[in-house]
Amino acid sequence: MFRSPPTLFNQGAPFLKLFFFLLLGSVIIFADYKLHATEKIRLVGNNLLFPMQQLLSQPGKLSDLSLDYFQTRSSLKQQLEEQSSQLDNLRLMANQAEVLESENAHLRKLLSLQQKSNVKSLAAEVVFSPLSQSSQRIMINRGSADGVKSGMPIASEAGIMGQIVRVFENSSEAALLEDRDFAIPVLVERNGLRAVLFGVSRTEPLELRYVNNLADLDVGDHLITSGIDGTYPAGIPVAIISKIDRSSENFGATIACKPIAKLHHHRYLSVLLYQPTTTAPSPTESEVVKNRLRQKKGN
Amino acid sequence: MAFSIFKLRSMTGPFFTLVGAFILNMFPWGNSPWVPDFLLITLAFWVLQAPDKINLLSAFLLGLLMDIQTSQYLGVHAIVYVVACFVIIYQQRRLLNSTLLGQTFVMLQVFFITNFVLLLIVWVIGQSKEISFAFLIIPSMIEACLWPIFKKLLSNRASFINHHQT
Repeated sequence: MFRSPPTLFNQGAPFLKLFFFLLLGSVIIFADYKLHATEKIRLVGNNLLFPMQQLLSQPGKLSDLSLDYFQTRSSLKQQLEEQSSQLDNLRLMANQAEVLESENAHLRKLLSLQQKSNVKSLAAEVVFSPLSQSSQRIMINRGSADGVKSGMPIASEAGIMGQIVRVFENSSEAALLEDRDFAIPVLVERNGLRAVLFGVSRTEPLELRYVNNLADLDVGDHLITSGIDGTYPAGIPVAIISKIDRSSENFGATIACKPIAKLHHHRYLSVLLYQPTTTAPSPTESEVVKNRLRQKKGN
Repeated sequence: MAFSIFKLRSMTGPFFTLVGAFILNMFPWGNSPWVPDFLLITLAFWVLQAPDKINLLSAFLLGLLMDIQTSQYLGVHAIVYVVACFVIIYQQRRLLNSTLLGQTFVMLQVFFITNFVLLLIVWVIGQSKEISFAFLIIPSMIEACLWPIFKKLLSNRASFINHHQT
């Protein structure tokens, strides 16, 4: 070892090593992409990295904490009074809401409408969005320990934001509406026309596909979830049609939509604890895998 | 025995700076072309300065960590970092013999190739529809601009360690 010349002089470019690592890398990508074989490694890595990520995402919290500690007694007392009065107000409002709800249920029965099931939701905080130009994903601070399951929708107060695609113990990963290959069944609020809304990428708007070229659609139409696939509860706002291109070059109309919920502005969102009633494959599964499954079933 | 301790101590410089760069990458920067890859710059520096300590294997392992952190398919960043290190080793003499300005221009090419490979892999996998020029050019430029600063900072650190060794 001591006899070998300094490394600067004896090494040419390590072509062999390069090819070895390129091969190894391709095999790992293949194993992850097609066979989903690396979830275990990812789980371990995520558990190691998650505390750090959480720490880095909220440097402001520490200062808040110290400020809280040094609050004076009088300000606390004042706060308490304010809050108790607020609580009274809220109680009053809650009573009113109960009355309205019962009245509403009664009216619904009269109209013999299908009663919408009340979906429970879980508040969650966005921990970070990964530094990756290709995927439109976010990490939230709720995981399997809180009852989150893969496939549950996430929503802000305005409408659907996306869907949970990967669940860890105390965190989970959600795909936003703009994620490529994201699909969500919708209907047009105005006339009940059914269609499927697809994500394209962050820079482009959502696209409404599988509709007739002559379908009755207008710019400004609201799209809501149809509830047909059983993954999303029915009747939640999703997007607004922003542009319709009916040029004859394409085979059908190209309909661009923009999401109602602001996908990149929210720090808090809610996970709808809605159990998927069908075993539809997750939107992240690639077309290739789906086709292969179909072929297997055919055989 | 003394030799092994010697070697261990000389590893601390690359180790801590790489961990530091990784933590820098972990900040919630968001999803924009204006965010450079700090780990890539640090890795490039160490591969150039200490190729016997930081080699293609370390690049590969760091790439895997980066994939977990960005929830990318495992192996994407690993390949990208390995390619970057290879190009730097290939251009080693040219880089070591040139002035800081010349070095920065060579590094611009290296970062350009690196970002291109990253976008190419992502495109082949099918995560993005096309190779966007913004994500190709802007990060490369920023990383090249950061190169002299990182070189200055990290060289100080390296000389500090060498000083203690002798």
